[in-house]
Amino acid sequence: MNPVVRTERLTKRYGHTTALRDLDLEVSGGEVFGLLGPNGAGKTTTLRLLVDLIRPTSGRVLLFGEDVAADSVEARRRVGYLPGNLALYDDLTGAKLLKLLAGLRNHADLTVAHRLAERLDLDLDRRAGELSKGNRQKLGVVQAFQHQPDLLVLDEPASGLDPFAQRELHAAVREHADAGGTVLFSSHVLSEMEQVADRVGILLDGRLAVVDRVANLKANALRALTFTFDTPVDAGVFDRIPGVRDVTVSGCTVACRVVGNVGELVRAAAGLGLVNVTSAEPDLEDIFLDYVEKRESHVT
Amino acid sequence: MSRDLVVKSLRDNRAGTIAWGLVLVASVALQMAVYPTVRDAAAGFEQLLSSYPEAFKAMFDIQGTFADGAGYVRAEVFGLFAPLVVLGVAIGQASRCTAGEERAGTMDLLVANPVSRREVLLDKAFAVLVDLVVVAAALAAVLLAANALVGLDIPPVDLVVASLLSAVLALPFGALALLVGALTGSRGLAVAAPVGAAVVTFLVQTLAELADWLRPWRVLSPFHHAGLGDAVSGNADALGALVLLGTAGILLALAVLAFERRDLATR
Repeated sequence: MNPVVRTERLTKRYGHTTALRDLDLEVSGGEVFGLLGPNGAGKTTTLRLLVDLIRPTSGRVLLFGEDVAADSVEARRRVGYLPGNLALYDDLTGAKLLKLLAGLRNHADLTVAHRLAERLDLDLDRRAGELSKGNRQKLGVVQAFQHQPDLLVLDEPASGLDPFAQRELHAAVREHADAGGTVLFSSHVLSEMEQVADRVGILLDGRLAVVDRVANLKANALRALTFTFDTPVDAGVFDRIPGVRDVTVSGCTVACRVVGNVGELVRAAAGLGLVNVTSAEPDLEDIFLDYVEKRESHVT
Repeated sequence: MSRDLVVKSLRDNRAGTIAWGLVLVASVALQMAVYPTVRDAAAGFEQLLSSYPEAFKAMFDIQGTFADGAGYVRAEVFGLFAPLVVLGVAIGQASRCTAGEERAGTMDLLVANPVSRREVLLDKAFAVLVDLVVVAAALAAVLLAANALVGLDIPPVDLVVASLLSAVLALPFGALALLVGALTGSRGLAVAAPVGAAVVTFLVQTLAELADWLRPWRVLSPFHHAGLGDAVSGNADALGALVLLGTAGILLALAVLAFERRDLATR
């Protein structure tokens, strides 16, 4: 089966700056894919290329197996898009905006939109210009979902939403994928990836640093461990163990970080009069910062 | 053509078009209301007019007499004022609904739908055309009313033709606004380019009356091809109108090509 989204060496340059470099990405049907990266990493550029708002300098985008450059209108029929820098017609009420956009799709049925608006606690009878930032974002989310597209392209969808609305958004994203739909969304908020993404791609400086399942990323991540002993110990013992780094000793307590298997480290610690050990579950923040660090040390 | 898009564009343009239209109607009505006074004092006015510098008379298409309605209307209405307003509508609306919408960020919302860039631009251009026809119709209506009330003694068909020609005159300028907006995404440039073109070509047309060396260049001036003053006097230039329509068509086609190829700006 064709992947729903496929990019081939997708590159976008603006003058001398390269916003995106040789991006090869595949997202399959039913998958929620998260594009993670700091501001300016190329997330918005990637998503705007997908919906043909901007054109690649080189490489190409295939949606549903078809080259977007050949017929982007046909591709967009099956795509719902939430712009990152959402702008709305301030003079239109939510209901009128949804009707206008549905009209452009020949999609007369507004029941999905109304149901989602209700879930997000969004009043569709108010003009967009009167809405708070969070409510404007909700309206943006609803218009992306309203025609039940095969592919949702959401640029920072949770931006500005309150925790309740974020939870509903994430639930709606999951339901969409469970029903066979595909979601590609961007975020610089890491916890969001953990909650909804099946796979995550980390973009740094226009390059895709890594793509993996959230679980695998975490398994390969640096794990922070803290040992407490009954007598002060020598840091050197820990430094020699493969995969261990950032060892700090203060009195009877040793803190370090370790990649992968912790067995050898724990065995060594056990022989030194171990009293207690605590281990923090690695979160994506650490994983993310690891890649940033690796990249920076690579550059220098 | 998307009905929703045309209706939306018309609605966005509505306030501006109504404002321009009201300015035009009110001003022309006022000009026409004083016509009987001017006519009755024609002898005095003619003396005054003959003392005007030639350049001034050329610029306002003053043809020597206000004693007849046609001379008055071509100078007072079609010499400068009506072209100014229709160009304002064409340039203002064309730049606002394309480059302006792109700058505002809402173009992303439209173009992310299954509509082509070509369709978006053409629908918006059509909305501007409707605005121009409405303004021209309002101009024709107030002139026809004045014709009946104060006795301009102008064949009504000439007033209607001249009014419609003023809309035709605005088309190349509106299309230039679309083209520059499509090329750059900048509303400022989309306004400045056609305004600059209008000033230059207006001066070429009017000053050619005074300087013979300028006369060959008149063919480059849309004001020359529109021949609004002569249309009031019953000598409408059909070929000139076709030149304007053709020019607008070419500029619009180029605008579509440019808009289809360009990256849309982010806010």
